[in-house]
Amino acid sequence: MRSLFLTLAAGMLPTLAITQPSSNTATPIPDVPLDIIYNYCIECHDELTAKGDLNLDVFDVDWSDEHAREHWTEVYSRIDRGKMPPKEEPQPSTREREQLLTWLDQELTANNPIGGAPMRRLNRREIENSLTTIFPIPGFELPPGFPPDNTIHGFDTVSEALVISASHLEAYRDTATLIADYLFPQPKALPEKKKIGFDTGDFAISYSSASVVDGAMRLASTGALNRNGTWLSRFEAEESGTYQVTVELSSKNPPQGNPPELHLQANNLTAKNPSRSLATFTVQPGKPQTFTADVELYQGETLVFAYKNAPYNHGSKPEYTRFLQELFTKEQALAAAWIKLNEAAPTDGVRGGVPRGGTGWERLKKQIAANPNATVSPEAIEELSKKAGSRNIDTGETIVYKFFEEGPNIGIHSASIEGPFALIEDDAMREQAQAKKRFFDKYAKGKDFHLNAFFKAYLSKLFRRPATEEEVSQYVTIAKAEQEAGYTLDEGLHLAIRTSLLSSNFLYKESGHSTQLEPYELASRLSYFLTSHPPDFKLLAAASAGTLNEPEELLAQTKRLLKDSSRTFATDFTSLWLDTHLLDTIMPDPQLLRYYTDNYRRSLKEEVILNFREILTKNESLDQFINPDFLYTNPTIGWELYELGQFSAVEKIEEKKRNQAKLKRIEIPRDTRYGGLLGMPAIMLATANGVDTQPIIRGVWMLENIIGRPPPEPPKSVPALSPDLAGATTLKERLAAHMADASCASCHEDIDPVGFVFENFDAVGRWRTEYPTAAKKVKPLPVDATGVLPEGTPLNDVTDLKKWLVTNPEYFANCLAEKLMLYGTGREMNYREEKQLEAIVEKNVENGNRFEDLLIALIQSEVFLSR
Amino acid sequence: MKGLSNRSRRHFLRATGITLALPALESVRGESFVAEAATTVSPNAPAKRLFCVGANLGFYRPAFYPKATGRGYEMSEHLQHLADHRNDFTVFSGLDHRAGNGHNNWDNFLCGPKIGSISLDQIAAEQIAPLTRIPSFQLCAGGRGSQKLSYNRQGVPLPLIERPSVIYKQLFSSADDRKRTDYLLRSGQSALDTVLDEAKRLQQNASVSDKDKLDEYFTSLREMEQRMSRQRKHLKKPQQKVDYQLPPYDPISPGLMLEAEELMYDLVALAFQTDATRIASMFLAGLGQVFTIDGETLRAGYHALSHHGNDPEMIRDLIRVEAEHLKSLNRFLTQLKTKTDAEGKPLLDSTIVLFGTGMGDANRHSNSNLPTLVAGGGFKHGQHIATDKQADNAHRMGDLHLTLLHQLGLETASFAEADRPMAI
Repeated sequence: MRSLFLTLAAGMLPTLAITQPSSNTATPIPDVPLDIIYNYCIECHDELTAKGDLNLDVFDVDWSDEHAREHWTEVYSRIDRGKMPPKEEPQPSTREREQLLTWLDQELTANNPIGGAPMRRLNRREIENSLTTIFPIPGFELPPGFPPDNTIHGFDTVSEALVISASHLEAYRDTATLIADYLFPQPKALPEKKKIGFDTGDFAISYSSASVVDGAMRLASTGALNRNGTWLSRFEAEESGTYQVTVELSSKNPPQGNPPELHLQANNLTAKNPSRSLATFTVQPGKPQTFTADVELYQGETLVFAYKNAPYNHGSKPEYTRFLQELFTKEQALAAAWIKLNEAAPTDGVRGGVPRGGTGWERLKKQIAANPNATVSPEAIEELSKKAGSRNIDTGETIVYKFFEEGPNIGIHSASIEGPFALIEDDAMREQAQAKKRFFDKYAKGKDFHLNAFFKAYLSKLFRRPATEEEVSQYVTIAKAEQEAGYTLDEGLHLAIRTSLLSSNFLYKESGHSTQLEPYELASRLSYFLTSHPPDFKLLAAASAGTLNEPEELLAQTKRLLKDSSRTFATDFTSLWLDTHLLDTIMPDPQLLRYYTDNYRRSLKEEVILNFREILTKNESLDQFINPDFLYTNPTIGWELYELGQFSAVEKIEEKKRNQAKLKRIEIPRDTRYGGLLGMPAIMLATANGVDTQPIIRGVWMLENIIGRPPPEPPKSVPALSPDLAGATTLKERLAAHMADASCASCHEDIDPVGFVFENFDAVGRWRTEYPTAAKKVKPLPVDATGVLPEGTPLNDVTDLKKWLVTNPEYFANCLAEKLMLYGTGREMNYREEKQLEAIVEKNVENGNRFEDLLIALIQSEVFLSR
Repeated sequence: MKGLSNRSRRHFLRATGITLALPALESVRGESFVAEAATTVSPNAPAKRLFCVGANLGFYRPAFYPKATGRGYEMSEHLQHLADHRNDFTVFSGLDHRAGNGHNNWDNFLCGPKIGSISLDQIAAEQIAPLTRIPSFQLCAGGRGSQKLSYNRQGVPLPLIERPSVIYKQLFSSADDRKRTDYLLRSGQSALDTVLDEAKRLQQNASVSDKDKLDEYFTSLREMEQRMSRQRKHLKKPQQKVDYQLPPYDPISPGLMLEAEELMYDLVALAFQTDATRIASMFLAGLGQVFTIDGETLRAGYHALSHHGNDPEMIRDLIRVEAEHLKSLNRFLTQLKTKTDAEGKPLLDSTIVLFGTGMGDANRHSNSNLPTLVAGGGFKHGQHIATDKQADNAHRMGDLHLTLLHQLGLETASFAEADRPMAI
């Protein structure tokens, strides 16, 4: 179905007359349906009122018009689903309803084509994957500003939404220039030599890694750089070259026989590479000493400083605990102060104890000053050391301030960098030279370089089919013309690559006028569908042999691709189908999830992927998505979100140190609230906003993605609903207004029950029976997840909905089939195609409703094989 | 009655063969993207330039909004920092886009209720961009994260530039850079014939619907080609000299966000002064940056502070960070007052600065009641205009956006769903 709006749910009806007036190709509506429409619809849908922007005040239909077919399909489904006419209006008799639907069914089946979508532009994912395949550049990624794609029903593969503009072409051109520059780098000129001086304000502090005391940036601990080092935050080497570094260093109170060593390193902080060692300086106590080193810096690198042999290291708990015990024994006033602060009762809303960082050290100092001669028993010292030692990151960042002030520490007073004196070849440039060699090895085999052979091989890879002689010769001409104009061959190839990535043969797939996809186009469709990458040589060979369109070969290729790429397929498809890509932009309230890290997010998404992949690769029943007997989880998620007793051991581990172990499969009993897509944490998070739940959003999500009955667009300017934490009214009470108003009720009777049923899951997917309250004194409101499905089934909680979906498997199966086809073919299914899919699903349900069977049947269908 | 009249009209129409078709919606595709032709913007418009600044985490409203409305209001804690410009800005409370909550919906800051609708700055750029060398700037201070700011007509979010040196190079490139850029443009242009031929061959074997796609491709190719010509023409013009030097590094280290913010303001002022562009937007990030303000390192990251949970110490630190944004804005407004346009008038008189956010209350991820102020642009400023959202016909943010477009001389009846310009 063609949608007039991008990214919107299906089913909205823009104001549009259903027929083109008096068009030559219009067919009159026969008298029987015409009278039924007149008797039951025209009251609201006449041409002037056109309620819901739908005008049924017409006498004929131009069935050749795609829009007309779409509108009548919508009319069909509203009547078929009992949404129209509204309940309070006069209803047609069963016979009349059937007469109207039969007429529409015949017309829509006869007049809709199979296929007919326009050629598709590669989307961002596909372009990135294609370029990675074509150019052997390690770690290639599109630049961050590369335009993302519009979506329809959440999918980035839909032809209609994949528009192109000058800005797109500019982005392609700029990306191509980056690639061409990488393979054929411009000679670099030595920049003007500079000398830059830095003072303490130019050094970065990360956590409690360093601190300025007495005019010098002090380093007092050793360990991971981001917590124990400092770097110049206002310097980046302009080019890779030789530089001279001068630093002024002193040390304070160094340990006997272990003079402090400053480790000077280089690091590009935006590239996440390990640091490169440059020099080590041994620093004597007393006046600042000047050290100089000639170093090589790579482009973009800055200088990193670390106290290599600091006696203080709070990275390892046992070592740190021993260290503390020694320290507290020697300085009992410190231990006494610490114990005293720990004992102080926390006041309302303020955490007690010793705060982390410099604030904590200030409080300790005050306490020591109040009682400088305090003593502490060895037992109490041992207990304190163990306690503080187990919270090493926390307390370590407090104690380190003692050493910033008293030593042992290294003080950095100033630094300067002069250069570059000469350019050097850095690691990246060496890697670049290798990539160029691999590129030519790939497309120009043998010793002699023939432009013709090179372009034939390169363009065939780029266009996903053999390049024609004409195409090859045009690109050869581009390269040669540059040479003739006095540039190098490299410049010619640079230009040819820049040009080729703008080619419609690269950017578009599935073009042509035949209804059936031709073999190379089918190879592309199948490959991008299942692997998100361009077709490999085996697929292209089958296309070349002309066998790919034969069912057996297509089956064999499908199975081969699924075997090798099920992970990519599961990852890409689920993130679009289930909206889990939204997790990247949702930051859960720290009160719900205190330590939500990238790793946590990845694990949540991983659960969705592993779940999908298991059902697909084991060819299990689709029921396993709804009411499964297994669950993928790790101890942290298993305990924090699923609250499964078997993972309670995690409770003993400090929250932020909880092991984000790999997910494992565990068996669970069926018919519980655990397991399956309904209530899965990634989805509960994606359908909330990180803080509150929004039952309407979840209800719409269910209808759109699981039940396959997407509601029409909501009325404009209806505000979002959030729970009222003051505790006055429940969300549900406020939404009861929906049911009172007939125009709201027609959609909300579908949305609300399947949305509210998830109110037991909070914004991160943790089970709850009460709503949170803003203040402790307010009595929490109980969660009411009950509801009634429009066809009458009562729901007490999510398990009832699971039961209903498993009892009526065709809803979910049809929905998934349609999503797969939208993703795979890039077009919305029309009425006739939907009927074909329904037939495939029906047969598959009879045969066990298995997932791989369904996917294969869909790929073998006329719908998939058509353009 | 209604049914009867309908019935008779239907029969009448059937008899005469006329049906009144309601106007069809235009497809979102196929519209021209940036007007290459002469601009339709009125030359006598009071404002010529637009700069939109959006803070990802918004502003603590009790510190932002003045208590009183109208002209005589007492400056709020935040607005104190703009005291020098009191009569050059208007502060707005109670406006929003009637959109849902969450960080995601921040992205509608310049779009109206629907994320991905063409943004305010880009509507202006469609008309105004052809007058200058660079169509528009989209900048960010402090790391772009995944948030979006400006969208073009096709719903594509425009990339945000994070490094001041990149902007500077676009404004004042070296002779060598210009030579290379010119070569890339010239050679790229000359080779476009090849891809044009390829698409023409594709067209010969294309279906009807493919042809629409190819038309879109041809249009885009032609437009890119025109933009390349325009860029080359501008490259050949002598460069205006300015006395401004960037630091030799880009302040992209997260803790240096406030420094980046100031440089970006400087560069926008320079871009306006040299008329390199007239449209810019800037995103002020709100990630976990730990700031050092006046030598004191704050006790929590910016994002953590925004979830202050009403803890007074957290709020105090949050206000300190936000105050830095206001101070930067203050310095920028001062620059626009000092710098003059070709006619010798202060740039601020003809530059609209929209300073706001898509986030009403970051503590609760609420996107209603967005703290907003508008400076410059020839308006009669000096007021606090409060809108009561509950009132009938309450203005929305889109009405303010529409007002700004009118001030820029764009004749447009509505912005997103809003169509009632505000009286400023």
